Amino acid sequence: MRVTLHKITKRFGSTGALEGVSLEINDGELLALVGPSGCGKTTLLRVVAGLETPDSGDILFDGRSVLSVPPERRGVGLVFQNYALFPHMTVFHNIAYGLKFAKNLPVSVPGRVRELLKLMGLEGLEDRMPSELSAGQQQRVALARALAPNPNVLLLDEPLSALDAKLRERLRVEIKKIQRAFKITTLYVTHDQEEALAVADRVAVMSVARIEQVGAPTEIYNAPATEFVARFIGRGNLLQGRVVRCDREELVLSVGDGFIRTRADGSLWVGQAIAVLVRPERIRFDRYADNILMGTVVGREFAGDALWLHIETAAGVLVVKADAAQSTIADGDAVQIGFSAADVWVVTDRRLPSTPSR
Amino acid sequence: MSARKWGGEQALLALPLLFLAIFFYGPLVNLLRQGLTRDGAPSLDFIQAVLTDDYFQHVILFTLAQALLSTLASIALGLPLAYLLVHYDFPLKRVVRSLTIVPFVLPAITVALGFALLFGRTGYLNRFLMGLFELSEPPLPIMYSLTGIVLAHAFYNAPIITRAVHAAWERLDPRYEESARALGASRFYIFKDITLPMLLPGVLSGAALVFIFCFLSFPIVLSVGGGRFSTIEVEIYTRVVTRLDPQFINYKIGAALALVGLVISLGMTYFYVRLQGEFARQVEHVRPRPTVPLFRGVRDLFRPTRLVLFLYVLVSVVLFLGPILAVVADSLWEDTPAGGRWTLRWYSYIFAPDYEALLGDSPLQAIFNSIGFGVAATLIALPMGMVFAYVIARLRWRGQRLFDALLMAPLATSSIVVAFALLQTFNAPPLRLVGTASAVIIAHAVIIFPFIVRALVPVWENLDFKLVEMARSLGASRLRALREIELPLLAGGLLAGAVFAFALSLGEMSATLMLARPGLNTMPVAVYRFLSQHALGAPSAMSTVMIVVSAVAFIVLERWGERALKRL
Amino acid sequence: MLRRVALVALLSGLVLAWGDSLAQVGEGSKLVVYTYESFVAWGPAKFIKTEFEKQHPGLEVEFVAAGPSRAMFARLVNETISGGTPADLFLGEINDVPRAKKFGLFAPITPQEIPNLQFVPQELLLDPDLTIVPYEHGFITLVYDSTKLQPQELPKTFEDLTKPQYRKKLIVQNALTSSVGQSFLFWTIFNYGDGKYLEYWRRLLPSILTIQPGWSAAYKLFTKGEAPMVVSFSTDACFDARYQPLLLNSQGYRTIFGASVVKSTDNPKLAREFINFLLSVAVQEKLPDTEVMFPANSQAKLPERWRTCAVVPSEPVMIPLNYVAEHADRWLEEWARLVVTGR
Repeated sequence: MRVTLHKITKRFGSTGALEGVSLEINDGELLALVGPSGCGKTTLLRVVAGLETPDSGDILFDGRSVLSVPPERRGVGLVFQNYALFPHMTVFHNIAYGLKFAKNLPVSVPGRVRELLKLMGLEGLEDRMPSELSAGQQQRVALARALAPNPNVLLLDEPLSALDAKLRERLRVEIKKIQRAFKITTLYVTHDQEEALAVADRVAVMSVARIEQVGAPTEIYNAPATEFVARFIGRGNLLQGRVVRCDREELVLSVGDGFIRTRADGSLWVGQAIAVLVRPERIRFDRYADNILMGTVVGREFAGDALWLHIETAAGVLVVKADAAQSTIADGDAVQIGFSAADVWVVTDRRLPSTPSR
Repeated sequence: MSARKWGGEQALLALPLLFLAIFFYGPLVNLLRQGLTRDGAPSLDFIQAVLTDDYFQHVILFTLAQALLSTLASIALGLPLAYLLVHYDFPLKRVVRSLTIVPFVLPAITVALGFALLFGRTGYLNRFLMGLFELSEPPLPIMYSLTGIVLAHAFYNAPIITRAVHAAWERLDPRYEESARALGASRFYIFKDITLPMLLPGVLSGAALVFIFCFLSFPIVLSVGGGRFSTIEVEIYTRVVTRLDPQFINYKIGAALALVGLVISLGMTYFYVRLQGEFARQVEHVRPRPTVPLFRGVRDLFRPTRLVLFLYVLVSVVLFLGPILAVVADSLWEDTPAGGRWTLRWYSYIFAPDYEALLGDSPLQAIFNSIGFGVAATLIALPMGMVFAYVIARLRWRGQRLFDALLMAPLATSSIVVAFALLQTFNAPPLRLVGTASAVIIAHAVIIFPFIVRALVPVWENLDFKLVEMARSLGASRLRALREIELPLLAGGLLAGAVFAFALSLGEMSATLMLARPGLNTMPVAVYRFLSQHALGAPSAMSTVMIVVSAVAFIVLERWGERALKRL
Repeated sequence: MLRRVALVALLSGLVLAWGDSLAQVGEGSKLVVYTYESFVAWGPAKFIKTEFEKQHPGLEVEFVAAGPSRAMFARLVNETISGGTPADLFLGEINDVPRAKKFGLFAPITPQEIPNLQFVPQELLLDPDLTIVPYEHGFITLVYDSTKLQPQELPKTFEDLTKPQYRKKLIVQNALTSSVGQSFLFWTIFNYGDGKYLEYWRRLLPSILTIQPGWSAAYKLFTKGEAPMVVSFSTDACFDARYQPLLLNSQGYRTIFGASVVKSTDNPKLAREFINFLLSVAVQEKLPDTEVMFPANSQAKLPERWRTCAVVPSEPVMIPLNYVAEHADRWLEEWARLVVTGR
């Protein structure tokens, strides 16, 4: 089932939750919708579910508009952050609930429930009440309940936010696995960019009421289209600078008191204010690089497998992800760092104030 | 909520407990032990007499049956209003919501008056229908019937259901219903499978309370029932208060009946307290539910679901507003040989400072008395209620629910029994109170105090105890934390509780009638007195004053502290 | 802690004291008269209070009428048993006197103490101890609304009254709380006998619209038009000619209202003076117009129109008080059970 959202606008009072949002979720694809809280991503999910009616725009399932189809007949599976397991029903009855309304079931209701219990590793829990389950088990029951009636589309609204970090990591792998097994078109809403990158086939990043960028996780990470995406996704050094040289060979910007070289980009001109992104893991303690900066260590975070260093340079304070083996570096040490021009990504954000000089 | 054990601070409990012991438990035991003794020796003879006699079995069963029917009727009428308030927008919605509490504080005598004026054989409704359909006989035989009793009880108590369910519904996470909807459930199944079961603790706790009130109802059964129906309370009243035999057999049977009734209503109170506990633990913070306008245009009149809602609105307007409007209309009307005319003479009569032999004082004095007694009773009951609410909300120990139920025992005791017990106990030295204002104030304080507890328990529960712990860690003493942290945060709830208590005191009649002497009349007592007079407009005018006073109080309160009011 | 407890206790005491001061009645000599509500609502209470207080400067007469006469009687008994009553006098119906005697509520009176008693006919003096001194009397009958029922439609006997055509046409009073209701019950017992009166009531119940706690409430519903017949007095047409007496079996049940001195009174002498005043011509001549009853004092002149509007039944009936004394408790119990269960 391919889901198409076409110029969806939804306003609550005078505040717009969605402003002309268009988005495509391909058949069998897991698309993660990520953005800060209040950006409208949950509203978008609710529009797809039919729980909110858009003020304008259209929603198509396999090319057919479902605007007039009520949620109970849209065939969507829904998992909320708090799971909303019916507290007065057992696990079995929770999972079986949607089957009550399903037509032409290929198997019996208990058979289908058992199937899902097995798939989710929930066997033996069918007579428990939701309050007697661990958070992880509750999450799985919620997923099983949503999947039981064989929905066309799976909608997950912050499905892992209520869990602790370790469990979250484990379950996101499971969700991905199950989604693959069912080959079900899935919209996965989360505020956690790391989770989005880890789980999705494609990621859509939302800021306020708008989608900023849609793309594969690597594309989103390595080539953020806007300053917002660059800031929101991953850890990075976003540096504001001004173009001082722009020719066919290279692009040079002044950043703070230093200069940074990057690959040529014909669309820019001298004097323009732009932002560039350098990922921490691309910065090395290397003398032979396109960009060399001298600096002083002003902060360090030990993270087990890595060492994060804050280094004050002429271009500002940069975060560097170093090998944990280099843990001998101490606060106040003078260091030399470098990175290649190819690792400097120019964020071409039209909304940046740019004043052509000449 | 932070559960704590007994500690020094709970010594505060001593004073209100002492008050209740002296003015409630003591007199009550004094009355009830009559049912457990024969010729001075302990005996179950009278209990047995009550439980084995055909007639008393009939009375007990009827009491239970009418309470059950009234509770069901209250649910049937109260639930849709809660639905309406949760799901729809309509003009004056906030005012309607705050006014739902008004019927509950009206004196039974006013409700009975309104019912007689509206539903009587010559009442507005029957006359209207007779004119409309050219009937020779009144079509609605509501007065002097079980239907009338049940409807009058529903008038009183449906708002309790509405308020309890409305509160529960607003706290119910809409995502449960949305999940069910996404799973394919239609509105009907969502309501049946999800909403209703999840609202059940709210509905049941409201229903338990309603059941207790209907079980104890006394003036409604007598006046709307028209003398052909007897409940345990009516029987206690007639046995103990009016059927006097020098051998005290009736007195003892009445006491035994009171004991049986108290066991049943205390059982329900225990059930209610438990449910309240369940309910409190269910609190979830959820986003407000979306609402839609109730009436979007003339075309709505042809949609079946809206049509059903409109019909419900019509029925409830007749049932809830009808009796009140009938009283108001009657207070402005004067029958004359020429047919009748609008008049203000009843108002000039009740506001006149002239001596009225019927009252032993002026009607104006009755208004002042009501306000004075109300303020005094509230001043006594409010601190007591605060302490008990604190104990119920904050402390946990074994058998605590039982203790809670016992604290709430005045709720399970009719005002007739409270007043009669006081009359029996405090009509002799060392403490001779009968006939004094103190007796009336004490009776009012005992009667209103459980309602204050009820209003304040959620207020205490919603207050984060960590705030107090934080204040104390910063060096504030416990009392200082109470004064500077808790009381300011509780102010809204306290005010709501105080206004509610005051309104209940204004409406109290049965106990006042039994304990007060001339010169100590209150507004409802004046209504009762005027009713025995030939001039019909005066009781309606006095009732209208009461209705307006409590309505204005609740509307003002709503503007001031909407959240606090909702919890009542 | 103790200080705070004491403080709160003190405050509560102050609140109560303030409450008491709200309605403080002036000190001085006071005569408390318990009576039924209609005596105060319609009756000569206001006139009596004004005149008697005028005769006795510094005295205050306080009428307490918190209900129908039998309810007030019960209040008096309850107060007396539990420690004492503030009442000095009681105005009530004669059928409660046997009960009052069992409780020893009222003080006996000698004829010499009440000079006006000489004008009261012997037939009204049913209590040899004079614990009740009659001040007015009348006859319980049915009363009908002449605009609702035509003369040919009226029931003539107790039996007629049970016919289906009178379904829900009658309002009666509760015999437990109202003396009028009690008299009506006794009247049926007079006619059907101890053995059969219950069976009669069983058949009568469908004709009854409602059983009201007292005469006042019943009569108001009647005049509002809720039902065309009510149990009331044979003199009612004198109040409003629209409401005519209806003598079942050509009878009327005699009812006598009298004043009693409460034994515990601090003012036995004044109480007797009050009764004498009650029997004075000035007060007695007020009774026909206010109470719509016959005065007990034969010297009192009846209004001219009473010659026609006041009906004296050809057969006044009454169950002897000693018989009432013996059986009333059982009758009331049986009757109360019957009206509730219908069995």
